[in-house]
Amino acid sequence: MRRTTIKAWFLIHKWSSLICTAFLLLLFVTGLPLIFWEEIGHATGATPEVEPAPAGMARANVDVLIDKALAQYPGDVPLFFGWDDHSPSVYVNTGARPDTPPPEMHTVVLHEYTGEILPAAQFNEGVMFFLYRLHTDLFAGLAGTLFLGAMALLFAMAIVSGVVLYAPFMRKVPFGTFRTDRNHRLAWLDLHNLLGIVTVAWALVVGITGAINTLAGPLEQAWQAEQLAEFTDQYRDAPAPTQFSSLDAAIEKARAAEPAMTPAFVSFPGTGYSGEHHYGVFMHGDTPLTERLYRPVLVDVETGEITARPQLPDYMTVLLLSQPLHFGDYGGWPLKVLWALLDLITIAVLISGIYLWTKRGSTENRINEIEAGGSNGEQPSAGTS
Amino acid sequence: MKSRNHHTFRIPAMIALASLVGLISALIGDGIFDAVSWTAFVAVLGVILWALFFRAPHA
Repeated sequence: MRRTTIKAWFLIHKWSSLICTAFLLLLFVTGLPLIFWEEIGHATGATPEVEPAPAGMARANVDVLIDKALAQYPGDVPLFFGWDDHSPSVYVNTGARPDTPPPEMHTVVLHEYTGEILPAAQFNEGVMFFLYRLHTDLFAGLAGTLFLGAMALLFAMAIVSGVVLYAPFMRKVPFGTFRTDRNHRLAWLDLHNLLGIVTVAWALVVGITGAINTLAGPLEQAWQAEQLAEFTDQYRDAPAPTQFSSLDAAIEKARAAEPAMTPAFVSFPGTGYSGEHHYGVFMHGDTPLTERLYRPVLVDVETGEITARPQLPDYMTVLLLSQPLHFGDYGGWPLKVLWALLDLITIAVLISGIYLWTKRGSTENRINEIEAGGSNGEQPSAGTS
Repeated sequence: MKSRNHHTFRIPAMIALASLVGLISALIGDGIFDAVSWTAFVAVLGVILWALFFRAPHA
């Protein structure tokens, strides 16, 4: 590799890293507990332990469950109704308006069969939600989310440029070299290279899927505008519905229409998921892959009839598949532990990068160092590798 | 130059491949697919332990 080429990549690596490192540290530190959100919820009692369904008992009527939930928050309207895949419990999100954003929603968790209200903490309160906001929008809404997305892209740029620089540096050095016997800088540099190259694929995937996830809001809006509009077009000039047919019956129709799938959640009209005139019953499969690929069944809230079962557009599929690959929540607790270890190693890469920058000296010296594989320009004797 | 780069990236490429297997396998299914993911990532992390603690010192 020519010296000018190395220098260009070195400057890309340096500046893309410098701009994003502080935010990446924040993301990887706050992300660590978020990996275990579910486990922490159970351990702290924020998530209720749910009794199994009594033998022979049928599911409670969803309309009754919704009324029970609304009685907890007088004046609220229902927003979403959803099922827990791991226990016989359901949740109802309510809010002052149909377009209430998540931080202002109320949530009631009920037993799916007995209809009993379960003592669950609000998802949008407490330390974990605070960390979630830091991790996803810095308490600045969409602008904060998109900013973090830009930082994730810089992170990807830093990773790619780091891999490019790995080539000239490692030309004369065997894989896995870790030299602690010369000086601190070289030991940190070897560590930075080793930890960085071993975790590169994971870090790149988590970074890019994180950037994609920051587009969730705009992508859902685009989907709403383009595709759902097609199916709800005939309702364009219709007044807002005043009669609401049974949601319980709508869910049963959706189950019958998609017998191979189970319902994941239902959106009420006006929430941004199913137009102004429909319940959106979002069906899903039962493998880690298919449980993320929703099939919306749109049910007219006045007539109670299914009007459409649109395919999700490709960009929504990409978004939905980006979520598990970012969260690491699809392979049981061992995968979460491995995710946490990879997270910690990435923090070590970031910190070693900062150390190397504080001990940098001139750019020319750094290029010498990369060209020489860290041996300060001395020619390695034959047989070192 | 090309062959040298090829050499430099031989082990990193295998590690990246193992990481991709780890990332994708658990998405496909549960049970054995999860176990493949865990094994792949344990192997990836094992490389770091090997390099830091068990690798023969570089002369």
